[in-house]
Amino acid sequence: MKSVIDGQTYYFCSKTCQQKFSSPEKEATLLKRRLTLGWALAIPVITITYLVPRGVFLGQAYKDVVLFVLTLPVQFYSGYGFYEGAYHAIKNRLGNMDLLVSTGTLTAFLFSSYVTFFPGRIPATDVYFDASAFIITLILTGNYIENLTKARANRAANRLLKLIPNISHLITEHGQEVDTPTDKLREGDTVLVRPGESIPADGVVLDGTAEVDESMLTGEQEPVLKRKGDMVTSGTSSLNGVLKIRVTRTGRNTTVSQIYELIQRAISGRAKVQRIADVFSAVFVPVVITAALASGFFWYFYLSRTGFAYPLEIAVLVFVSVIVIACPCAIGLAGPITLLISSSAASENGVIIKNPSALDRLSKVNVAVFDKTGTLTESIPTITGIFPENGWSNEGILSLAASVEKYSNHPIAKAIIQETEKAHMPIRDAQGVKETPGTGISGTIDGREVKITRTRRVGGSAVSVYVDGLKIGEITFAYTVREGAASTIEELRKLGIRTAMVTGDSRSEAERIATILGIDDIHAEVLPEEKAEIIKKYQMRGDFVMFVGDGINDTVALETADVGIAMGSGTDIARESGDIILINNDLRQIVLTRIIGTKTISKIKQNIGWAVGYNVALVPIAGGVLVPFLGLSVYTVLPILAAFAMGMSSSSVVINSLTLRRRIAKEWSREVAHLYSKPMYSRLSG
Amino acid sequence: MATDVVCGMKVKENTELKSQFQGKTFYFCSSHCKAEFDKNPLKYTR
Repeated sequence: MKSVIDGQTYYFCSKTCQQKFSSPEKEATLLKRRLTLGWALAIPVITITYLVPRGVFLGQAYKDVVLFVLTLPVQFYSGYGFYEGAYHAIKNRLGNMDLLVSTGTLTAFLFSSYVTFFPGRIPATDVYFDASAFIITLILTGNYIENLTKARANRAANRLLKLIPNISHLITEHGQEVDTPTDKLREGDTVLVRPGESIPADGVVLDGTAEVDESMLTGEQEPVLKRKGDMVTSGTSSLNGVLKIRVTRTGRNTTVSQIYELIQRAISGRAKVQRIADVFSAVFVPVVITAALASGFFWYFYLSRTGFAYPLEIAVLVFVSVIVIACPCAIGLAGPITLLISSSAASENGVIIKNPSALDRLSKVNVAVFDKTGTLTESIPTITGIFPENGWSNEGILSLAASVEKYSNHPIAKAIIQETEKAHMPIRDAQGVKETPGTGISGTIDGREVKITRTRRVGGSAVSVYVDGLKIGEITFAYTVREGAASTIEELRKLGIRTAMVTGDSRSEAERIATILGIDDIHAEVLPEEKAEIIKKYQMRGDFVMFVGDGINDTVALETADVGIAMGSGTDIARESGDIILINNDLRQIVLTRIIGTKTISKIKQNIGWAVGYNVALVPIAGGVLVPFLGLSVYTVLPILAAFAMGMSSSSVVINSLTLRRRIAKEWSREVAHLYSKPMYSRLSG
Repeated sequence: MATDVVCGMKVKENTELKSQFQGKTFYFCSSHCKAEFDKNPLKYTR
């Protein structure tokens, strides 16, 4: 079974799963309709069964027929979903909850129908249409509550979508402002965003300056200053200042939409620990059916032997009760609902979980390997000094250098441009620009040849600037260690995780940084293709490895590691590799990520344990353990009580999962005290 | 019925998408899962 939606291919285990994924709103409406009909008819059925004397119907026989007619729609319209699911189960030789519910309710219904239309053939005291109607209705109610809570648990995802404004201020080619529906925006369009407004699509600032509130995306309360050339994300809002933006991604491709879809997909993610639940379900269902049959037979023969008048009736009720009470609906829910809440809570803090199945491995991680440049250190170096020759000024050199470097993507180029803009110096155009990797860049400005050579030095880099062959000055750079790197390494060590650094830099340079940060293992002078091998060596020793690197450049290493954590390069989540993406580029959130992993897995285990224990404990009750105390009459209500218990089991799993947020928050706030209290920005050179 | 170790879905053994590792055969629900597995089989088999 597969679907192709927006170019992505998805695979499903059954038609129901497929439908749930592709059109959840349709599913929800259908459920509501079935549920409403269920209650609308089940209540009259139970009222008539117990409260209306048969005289009103001119005799028991007619009363039974009325009950039959009222129950029929519930049985076959409201209950239809269970039959569909049961069919898939039988077809694929699997056990599932639909099979149990169908068997239970159909048995009660068919028994009651037979007694109604062939009175006297089987000795029976009553019909049990109320049982079959309520089984269906109560379990549907459980599903409905499950859906409602899922929707509420989804709040981060929903909030994200609501952030995108419906109307955008489109600027036409002629410079006119036209209000357009946001979904009509295309890549390349220009839009205007005014103070207080939300940004409608991902884009690049063409003009204007504004402070942008990105807290809904990253959890970061401090507004971010955006200027010409900066990237902006849809759903964030401009606090002050007007921005003219060129749209780069619209609709489904925007960061906000991608995060939303990842959260939604978390439901179908499978953590390894869920395999237990799957195996249990598969085995449990046949066991339950056997147990139900066994109990049924036991009571039939036992009661026949003791001369009880209605052994078959009791046997049927026992069978139905055991089947219904053992329904493993909560077990199937345990994993998915926890993953959903986990994903949702994580994304509110800028931790985007792309691959929920990595969470188990995350909780087992004992080695953290960091890429050096751009991960442990800032990706753009800082200028540590400008040394002009006689007759030249710092600003003059910067301006010339920037005018050539603006055609390069080198980190040093970006650093020069940033500094030049900060100094409010002009950046002009250059002609005939040629960049030589490893050496430098040159170009012609106003007829003069400007050449820049880049050299690596201990502690950083330096560039020399030449005009027409004459050296006019030097600029030195250093890659500063990222804020929080040292405290992150320390906290990881406290968690029992060994740290390692991998870099193409020289051994002396690598050792310098490693010593400053307290990193255990150093792998220096490593070629890009060797990074993955280093990770595999740890894995072959039995270590579970977390690799932290750049989402675009370290693809292989990220995919080799047990858990790949990407520091957000350009917030293009779909294209970045990595199981988890840290939008905030804050190394300290690695500790948060680890907490999310361990707490989520333990919550899933808790939920599965509860769901299984709940079922197993109730089976003896359905089987008749209470009869010596309450008498056989307990069976008139046991089927309905069983259905109620099942509806409650799913709801209790959902409610238990909601506490996951609080548990993560508590643990994280403890860590925050250690991680963020150290002296701030480390001016240590890298 | 086998289980795809990458995504956890159930797969029939008659699928063409399969890989060998340390003497065992693994089956996959999609070429994407098989590709993921082949990149680093150790990750999915311990």
